Amino acid sequence: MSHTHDPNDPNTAFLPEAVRRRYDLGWIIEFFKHKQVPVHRHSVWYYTGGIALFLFIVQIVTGVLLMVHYNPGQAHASVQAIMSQVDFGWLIRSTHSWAANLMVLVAFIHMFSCFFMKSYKYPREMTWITGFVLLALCMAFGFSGYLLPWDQLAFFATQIGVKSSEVMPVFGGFMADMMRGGKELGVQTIERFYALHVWVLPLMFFGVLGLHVFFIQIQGLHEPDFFEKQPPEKKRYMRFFPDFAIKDVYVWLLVMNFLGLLAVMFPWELGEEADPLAPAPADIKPEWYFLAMFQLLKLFPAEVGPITGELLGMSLFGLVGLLWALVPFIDSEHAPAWRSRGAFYFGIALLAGMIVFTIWGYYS
Amino acid sequence: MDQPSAPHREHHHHLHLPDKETVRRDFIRTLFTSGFLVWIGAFIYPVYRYLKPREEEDTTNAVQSIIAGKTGDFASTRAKLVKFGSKPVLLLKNDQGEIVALGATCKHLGCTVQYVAAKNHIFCGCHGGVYDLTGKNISGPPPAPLDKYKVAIEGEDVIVSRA
Repeated sequence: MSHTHDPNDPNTAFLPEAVRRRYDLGWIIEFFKHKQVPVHRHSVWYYTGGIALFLFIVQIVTGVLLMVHYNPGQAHASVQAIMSQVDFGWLIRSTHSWAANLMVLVAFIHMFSCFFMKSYKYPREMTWITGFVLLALCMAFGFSGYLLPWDQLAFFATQIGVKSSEVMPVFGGFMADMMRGGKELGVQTIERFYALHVWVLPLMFFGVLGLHVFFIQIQGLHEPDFFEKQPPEKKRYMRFFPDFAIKDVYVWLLVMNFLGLLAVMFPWELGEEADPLAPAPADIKPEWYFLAMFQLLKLFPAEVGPITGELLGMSLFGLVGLLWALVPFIDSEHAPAWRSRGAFYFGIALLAGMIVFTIWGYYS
Repeated sequence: MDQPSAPHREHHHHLHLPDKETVRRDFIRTLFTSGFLVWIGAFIYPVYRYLKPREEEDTTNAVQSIIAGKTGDFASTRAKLVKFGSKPVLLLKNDQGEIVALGATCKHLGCTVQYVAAKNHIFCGCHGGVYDLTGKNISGPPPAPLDKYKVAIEGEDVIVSRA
């Protein structure tokens, strides 16, 4: 940095002198002072990323609290104790479960809002891709966390999830064995999923989230086309700090209250302890965010030519996911209009498909 | 507050009473601040209760006596560590051939002590505390002698009970 350290920088006047003399922090304040948030009829979507971040923080706090009383060696019994014996344990666990589901939902909303505002376009390709990775990590969090209470539903959901990865050629069997820690689901699977859920995924998530937020900070918020095309005198902006930040905090408070309400009114259930010898309950379904894929897979015939229906389905999901991740390069800076339109219709089709199949899966 | 003195007001008669605006602002601020603190408390309190160790029944005095072993146990050794409830107790055959029982928790910082046959004393590995075979602290940091337990022999059984 070329600027010199000025302990009397008015930007840092609120800090104690002992801090100001030692650390040059004025430029951080200066940076945030200049950061602006475009104000337009779709500004409301700018809050979704912050909400997802807030829910992630809730997950860290409640997750660490759950670790205090959870024991992967006696998974079901310890969750049962959390629900019935530990003071407010039911509240902490219910908050963790509800916040997890809300986080996935809000992340989806955030993603689709960015998609339809075309925020992914040049120069923000990497923000899109890191966001995509974050969503994938969210779903991995959900999948690994779902097993930890070791009840009947968790057991069979994991069984199905691991089995469907087994159909992948070459790596499938290896991946399934690595997840299960053997040929069958058991305590060793819980231990693996636990390590994944509380260490591996959070570390990865922190790194990618850091990049995601860093990119947004240095590039500023994306301005949608209709806003950017306005004459400068018509464009309205809001200061990020403190104006937008304080609104963010208000929204967080509302979300926190909503979350508390959900956890109190609809505490999360805990089923019977998993028993590998018991038959799977009828109508077993995965978490709602896997429901669309689950329902679509059911439609495939068992065999399609030389390959199984599962493999075809999984390959289709992989292809759609890849297209989705790479959309900034398909609908790139100077892409012809048809590609840009195509991306838009692809997004509409995907969103509609996900909604329809999720509802269908829920009611079938 | 420091308004230019208005000639028609005679507020100075009422000492320094704040004006209505200020009273209202202070009231609202207090209301919101306390409301916010209560709200924060509604989230902190469950977390505090969740983390607070459960009220356990006091098990310190639950165990009154145990069968710590057989007299024959001391044929080839002079010392044996046993559990008395949740506490370790050191059983020793002293120089007179009697079996005695001492609390094995060091009086310094709570490590578990051991009998050292070569020096015929009780030693704590953490900070080098030394006790003699009666449990008296004779060297190193321990500030007090080891706790004493009663020993009774009933037939073959060595019964240890609270002193």
